[in-house]
Amino acid sequence: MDCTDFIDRYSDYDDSLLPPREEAVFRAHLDLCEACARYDRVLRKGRMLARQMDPEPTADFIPRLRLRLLTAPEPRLMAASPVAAGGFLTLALAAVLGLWLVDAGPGSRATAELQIGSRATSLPASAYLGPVDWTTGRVDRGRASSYSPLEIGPPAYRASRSVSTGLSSTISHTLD
Amino acid sequence: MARALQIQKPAVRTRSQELAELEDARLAAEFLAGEARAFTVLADRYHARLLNFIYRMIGDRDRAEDLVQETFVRVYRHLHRYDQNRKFSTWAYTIAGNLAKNELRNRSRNPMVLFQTIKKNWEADHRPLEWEDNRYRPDDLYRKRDLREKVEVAVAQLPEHHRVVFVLRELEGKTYEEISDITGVNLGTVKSRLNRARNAFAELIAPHIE
Ligand SMILES: [Zn+2]
Repeated sequence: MDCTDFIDRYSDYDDSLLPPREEAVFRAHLDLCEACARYDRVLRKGRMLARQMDPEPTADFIPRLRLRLLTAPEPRLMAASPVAAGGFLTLALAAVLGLWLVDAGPGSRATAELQIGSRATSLPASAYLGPVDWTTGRVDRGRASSYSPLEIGPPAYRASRSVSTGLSSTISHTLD
Repeated sequence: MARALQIQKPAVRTRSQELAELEDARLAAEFLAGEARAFTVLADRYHARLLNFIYRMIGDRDRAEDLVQETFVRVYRHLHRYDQNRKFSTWAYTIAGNLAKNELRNRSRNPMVLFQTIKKNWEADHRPLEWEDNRYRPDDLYRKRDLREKVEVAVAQLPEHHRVVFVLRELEGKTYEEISDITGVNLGTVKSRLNRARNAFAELIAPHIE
């Protein structure tokens, strides 16, 4: 094995996809070759550092989602019972909202302190190359759409941060 | 009224705990059968992971959070279309990935969005160091922050179709099969893109790590 073979098949080695005999060859190469050993070390350390930088959701993530679901079109359920087919959804959503209020309490991990402590920044947009069609890897130059059928039109983002989402307003809205 | 709440509360918590132990597909089935709390559990289980995924794809934290919200709205509305033979997480990541892809496409056509993102970056990068953990000496903090930033920039510099594979594998821990499902590319391509992404990432960060 030479260094080119090692780098070419490194992913298989790293993901433990090699048969035991081949894996032993890789390990032997790592023991002997300082360049490939360094490559292995750099990648492992880089991966570890990258994993330490996960952003935390902000404290108001759940309240904002609650509000959006209240104004979103109702989901289609399996209408097996009169309850599910009838006025179920409003009551059900109220239950969801009630639980989220509990979940978003002091025990929630999405606190303002964590937000300050974590690195909640953004990278230069210019660093992001794209848009690219993931299936072909080609840069998209204005093709109508390459989305899966799962995607329902463009993102219908509606800003809703400024609206208060307290418990009392939630309940009155739900029961109206 | 207050007494009724006191009596009901333990039952609600118990049911929530039961739901929290269910697998995703079962939660989806429960929601579709009318158990609204099952959606809460799914959202709670995945919102942080999806935020990480979208953030790594588009590089704008606030916008990433908006897109996670949009992901859950779509999941909520269209859960009846979810194929329960497929992993729920794969379906959710597919929706999130499409939104991220769409965002990058829109951004490339709107110079104003680019400008705003750069401005936000600048402000965030000049945040005073006293907000950081003060157990470390300032030079350690600078070094640590600098290194993390270089790693983050290295991920961002990967071409989009390599980056998505890299993020799903290295940061989200997805299998090759799941990545293939989420991105719609075949297994061989996933593998070769991952290898190329790893090589490029290693090259970019090597000068800063050793
Ligand atoms: Zn070598």
